[in-house]
Amino acid sequence: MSLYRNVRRDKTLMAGLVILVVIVGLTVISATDLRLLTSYSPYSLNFSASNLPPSAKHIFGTDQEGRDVFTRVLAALPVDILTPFIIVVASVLLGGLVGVVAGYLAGLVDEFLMRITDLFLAFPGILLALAITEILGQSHVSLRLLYSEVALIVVGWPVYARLARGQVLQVKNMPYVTLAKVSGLSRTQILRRHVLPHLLPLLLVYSTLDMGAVILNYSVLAFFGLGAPPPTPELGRMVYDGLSALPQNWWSSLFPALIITIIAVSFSLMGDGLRDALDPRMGERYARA
Amino acid sequence: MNTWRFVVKRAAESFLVILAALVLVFYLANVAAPNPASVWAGPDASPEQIQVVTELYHLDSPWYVQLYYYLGNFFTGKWGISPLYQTPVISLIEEYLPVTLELAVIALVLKLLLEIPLGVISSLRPGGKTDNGIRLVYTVTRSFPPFMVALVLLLALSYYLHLLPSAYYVSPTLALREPQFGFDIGGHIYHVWLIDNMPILNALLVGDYGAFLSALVHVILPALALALFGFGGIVRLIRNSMLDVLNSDFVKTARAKGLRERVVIVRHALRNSLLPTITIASIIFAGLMQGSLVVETIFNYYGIGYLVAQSLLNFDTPTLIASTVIVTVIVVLSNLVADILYTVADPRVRESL
Repeated sequence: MSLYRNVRRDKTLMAGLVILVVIVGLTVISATDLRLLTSYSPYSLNFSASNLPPSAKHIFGTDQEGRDVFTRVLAALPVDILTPFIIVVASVLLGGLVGVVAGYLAGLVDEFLMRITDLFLAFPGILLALAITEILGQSHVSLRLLYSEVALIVVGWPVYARLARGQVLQVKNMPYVTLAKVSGLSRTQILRRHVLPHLLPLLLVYSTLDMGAVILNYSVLAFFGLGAPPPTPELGRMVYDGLSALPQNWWSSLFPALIITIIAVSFSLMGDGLRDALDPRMGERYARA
Repeated sequence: MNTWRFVVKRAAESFLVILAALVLVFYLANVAAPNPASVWAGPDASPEQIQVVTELYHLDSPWYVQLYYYLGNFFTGKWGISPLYQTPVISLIEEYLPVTLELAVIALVLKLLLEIPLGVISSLRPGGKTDNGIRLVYTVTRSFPPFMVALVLLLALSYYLHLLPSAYYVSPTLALREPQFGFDIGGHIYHVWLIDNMPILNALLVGDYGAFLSALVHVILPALALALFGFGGIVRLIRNSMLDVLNSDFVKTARAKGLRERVVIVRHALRNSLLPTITIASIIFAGLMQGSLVVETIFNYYGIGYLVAQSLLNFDTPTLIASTVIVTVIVVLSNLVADILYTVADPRVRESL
């Protein structure tokens, strides 16, 4: 089996997987009951304990308001993992649909849909997402999380449309699909049984890689206060809030930044590993810039 | 297709993208936003200010009339008034954009100087210890968030070792008496806003070496943080195209002729491996422009990234809109330049486009 072909790649896949299992585990526990993991509250202010350096009691130290940074990191995980996940899934569905329709129907529909896709690809992604969220979200703070998701889907779907279209075009004219057509299968049946199964592994690999990128983009949105409204803790926002306490209190911005980095890196390690396991040549063709 | 037809076609496409960006932003701010007047006037505006702004941007007209005024104003440089700074947005952009352009160019050069040699070294013995080490490093650094590198550099080199300044693009005491460079043509001094506001270039042209050195020292950390953001993309690209080229016949011929290995690698292989990097240079530049938002915020480096960040944090939407459109224009134009360069360098590409 090709999955075990490359030992080095396997190691990166395993490393990514192990870190992710730990993080997803922590996220699930944090979402069910945070008190299982920590005795501090992520919300209540305690100015007598502000700016404490990392120690056995507070392993990531405390922030300017005296909240335990480790507790806030744990409390931030559900939003910071789930939001990018929703964004990636929605982008895959929307982009996949556009790409399959364009590739399958071809002709004018294809031309029209791909022009729109190219248009969206040409925009500077994060900046557009930031602008969309700020403009829509400024008078509805409670809806800001939803708007930030919409914004990142708007900049995220075009890549999937291109991927899906390319794959459909490749498969569409293969002899076995022609045979299926001759043997009287309907369009939907061909699509479901013969085209989609080829598409799914590719989308899975790319979306794993993309999770890392979306987590980074979302952390930048949160950095500028455009993610979930306060007091919900968010890793990106914690980095920004910690900046004003520099240089004495370096821990309240560095540790959240480190955690985002670890999560994003583990997704891209796993994506890289999956990609090579599936098809070693794919890396060159679909390499992200 | 000949080169000129290709250039005209791509230029027309780029113009359409810019127009589409303008219409999209217009739709968001004037139609989709729950309260367009507060978008343009800022969330803290008084009823009188809202009234003034409604008339200024024709917000009580039908959307197509608004679009007409909006596009007309954009192409004549009337980009609105910033509620945060209480100045016309265009003068803010004139002041902040050149700083970032200078920073981004320096960061791009640094990035290429760091990544291309690593890619070449990595390709010399694929699968060897050095190659594996380099690949491991860039698989990890490629997905670093923009604030990670900036924070580490700031903490280590500025706050801990006190080697470099932590904020501003020039020492604050020097900035107060900064003369601006002008071209002396027939006794009349002409100023170019783009040069005036580039701290390093301006100081150099004016001949103020104190300011020049200060600006140079201040640019190191932000430029390094930007250069290291997304570190590895080019290493990988150079490595892969070097591997392709090193196996080709003309490299074997060059070796067979008895040319020195250094000449073979630099003159024959590297030259031919640089093409893919040229095509994505514009994408990298776009990444740098976007990375500047976070990096300039962390280093208080007063460029357009800092301006956008401030407008995001303070709901200064007119500034945000104009900056977004301007950065989009820069990104789209650099894409265009890259495409043109690429077809000049390798005419075969035109056939496939």
